[in-house]
Amino acid sequence: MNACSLASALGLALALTASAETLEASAPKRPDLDWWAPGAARTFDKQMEFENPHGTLRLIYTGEPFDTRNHPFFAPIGTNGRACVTCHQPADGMSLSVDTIRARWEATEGKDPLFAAIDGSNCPSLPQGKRESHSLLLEKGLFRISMPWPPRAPDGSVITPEFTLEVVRDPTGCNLDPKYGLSSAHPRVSVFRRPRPVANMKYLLSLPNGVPPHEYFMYNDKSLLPKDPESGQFVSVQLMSDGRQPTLRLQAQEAMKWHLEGKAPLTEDQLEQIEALERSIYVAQSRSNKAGRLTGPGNPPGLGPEALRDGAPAELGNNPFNRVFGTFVMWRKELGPSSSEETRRRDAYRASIARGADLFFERRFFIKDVGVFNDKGLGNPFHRSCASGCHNTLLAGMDLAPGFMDLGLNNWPWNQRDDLPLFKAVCRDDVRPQSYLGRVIYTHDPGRALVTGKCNDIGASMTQQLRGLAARPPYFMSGSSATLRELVDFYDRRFNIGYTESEKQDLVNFLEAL
Amino acid sequence: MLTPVLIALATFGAAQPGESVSFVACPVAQHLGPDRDVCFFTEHRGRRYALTNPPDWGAPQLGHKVLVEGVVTDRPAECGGIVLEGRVSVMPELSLECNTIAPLTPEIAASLDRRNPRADEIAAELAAIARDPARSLHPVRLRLDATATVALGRVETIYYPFESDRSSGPDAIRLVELAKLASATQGAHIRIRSYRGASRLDDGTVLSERRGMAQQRADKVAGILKGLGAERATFDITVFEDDTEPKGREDWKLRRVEISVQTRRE
Ligand code: HEC
Repeated sequence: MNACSLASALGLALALTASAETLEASAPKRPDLDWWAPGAARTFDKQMEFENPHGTLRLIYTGEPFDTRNHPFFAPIGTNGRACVTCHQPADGMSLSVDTIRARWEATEGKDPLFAAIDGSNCPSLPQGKRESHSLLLEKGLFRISMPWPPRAPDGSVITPEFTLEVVRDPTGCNLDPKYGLSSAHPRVSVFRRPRPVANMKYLLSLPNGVPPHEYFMYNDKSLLPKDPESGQFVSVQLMSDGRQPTLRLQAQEAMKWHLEGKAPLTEDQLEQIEALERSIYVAQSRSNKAGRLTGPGNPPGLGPEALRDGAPAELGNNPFNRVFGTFVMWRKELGPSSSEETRRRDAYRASIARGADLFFERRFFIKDVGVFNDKGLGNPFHRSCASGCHNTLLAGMDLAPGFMDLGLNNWPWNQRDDLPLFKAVCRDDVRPQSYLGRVIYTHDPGRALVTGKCNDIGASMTQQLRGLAARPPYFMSGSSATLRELVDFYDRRFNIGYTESEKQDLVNFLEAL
Repeated sequence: MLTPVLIALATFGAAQPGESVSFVACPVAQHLGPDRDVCFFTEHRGRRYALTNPPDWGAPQLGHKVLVEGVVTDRPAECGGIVLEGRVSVMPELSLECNTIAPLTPEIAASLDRRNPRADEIAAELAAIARDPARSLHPVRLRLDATATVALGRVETIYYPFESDRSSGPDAIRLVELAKLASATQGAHIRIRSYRGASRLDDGTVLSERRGMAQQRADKVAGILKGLGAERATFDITVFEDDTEPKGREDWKLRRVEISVQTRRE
């Protein structure tokens, strides 16, 4: 999106008197409490803090505290012992980090319901309980998502795809499997994806403001947004990496059926409880090991979950005033010679975060050959920054105007993975080709095209929110980057940006503080 | 979208205002420095043309050729090239040979308009944010909410890029208004006329859109109007899929959908 070309014309040499503060003591560590086991008798509080390697994540819950034992998000209401919380852990920013997954494996010798055959293993037909059979989950934090092929419309009718799909390589065995694969009686495609955080939901669920006509239209092809079949209202399509479920309710039913292997759909009461909870959780990093307290007076107003709770959802933040996450100007101050060594170190680190915020907002590069992005009217290349190119939603940081895109993470040549299935998609001659890869595409995950059947959508996915990142590596939908540094390196390589070493570090420090 | 670039360079060839041009060529992206979007131009028969379109109609893309259909204007050069009145379409098929980003030259740099008409406003707001940092989270909407006026019985025409059914944002806003008009009108009747186009190039070649484009555009427009609330209106849809005879001048106007909302008469 594109609301400002004014941004970078600004020199922000503003003197700000931030009161000196000392490093706040670490939040009390509660490692024993950090794994939320399904069905545990625990209180879900209005405010909770969880340690991660870079500091502390704070979760705010705007409802009344409750005992999680019988709550449908926390109770093992399916048949495999899992609950929603199994994969959406508070300490991991309501997603699930690979460290947590490995710790569960060690603690339970692979017996935790987390590793259920259905999607917690590379393929249900593999011998369960062996590390190799769960390698994608243990190494990259990936769950198997099984999609019907050809795709089905919401009413269950078959969509005639614009392309054929051939399995070129099948390291998990699941796409060639006689029971689960593409040639089975009920053909399905297995792709492998990271859980997305179930928090800060109002930013994902609200229709975009101030970017007409995209409260009704998809950005890319100007087709209408999908509607909630229950209310008839348009939905934002920000849920899930491929937007296959339009609402939290339908998403929860799908999770119940697949992830929890529930034999019956969720009841109305369960759906209401799940949705109410999901809409009431805000997470963000609240303390940094090196920058100290991130929230409160004198600190950037966009950090911490309070900002998300109080913020305006679905607004465009790519202008010189909002700068996506608000101002960081108070951290750009000169280091006072009189301050203590500790304060100086802290302030130097804060200044690095502020420089990272500037790079994120200001440094333009040639965004080129991004499928379903450069071809949606913007031009190829589009000379923009991280923020003014794609990550522009105020406070949340995903792309505001609804649109899917292929950064190159799913399709060759930009990302090539040996551990994931590889498909060869061949598009019909009479359809619009994928804009930069044409009609023969090698892909690890056709993404949105598994929903629409469109050649143009192959490999495209929905951008994610950027909050609570420190708590939930690895990154990207297929866990391609183990660390934020690898993520920054990916962009640097993909778009030939040429960040210096210290710029990369600034960006990483900034992302870690979100 | 692109900051308009005003460049007073020597004229190229002898382009006469009013002269029509129609050709297919590679676009070139012109780098305009670290803080600006690129602009696009193309070179054809010794002349450099700026490649511009109405907002969101579809900027040129490297990796693809463009179909240029325009009439030479006497407006000051943009992107170092002659400004055309017309349309530039991105051709759907890949053309990997179109892959040039032209470096910023001193001439182009000198031609860039550096004034920021909103500088004072911006400085004031930033000063306010410095006093009250929380203000940086109050959403600022830089663009006015776009609107369109439509009227009963008036024909609205949407023009499309070659072999595309994507309407621009402003055209989509007109569809929103048409749907509102139809749902607010008792006994609304929506007439849709949809056309498949062809374009005659300067070298005599005729490019025809693929068959079915008219139907595809009509279906999409009708579906959008219904989805936006005009489902109770009656629809009269005519699809012109036959070959048309392109004239080689303003052929982009052949690729269109005409829509009008009327009241049903006995
Ligand atoms: C086995 C792990 C697992 C379990 C159990 C699970 N989820 Fe998820 N969840 C995922 C994965 C993986 C995704 C991302 C899917 C995709 O992008 O295609 C996801 C995505 C979501 C999203 C979308 C978030 C976003 O930002 O796009 C929501 C909401 C969600 N899950 C809710 C639930 C609920 C409610 C339950 C329980 C009924 C549940 N999940 C159980 C793995 C799980």
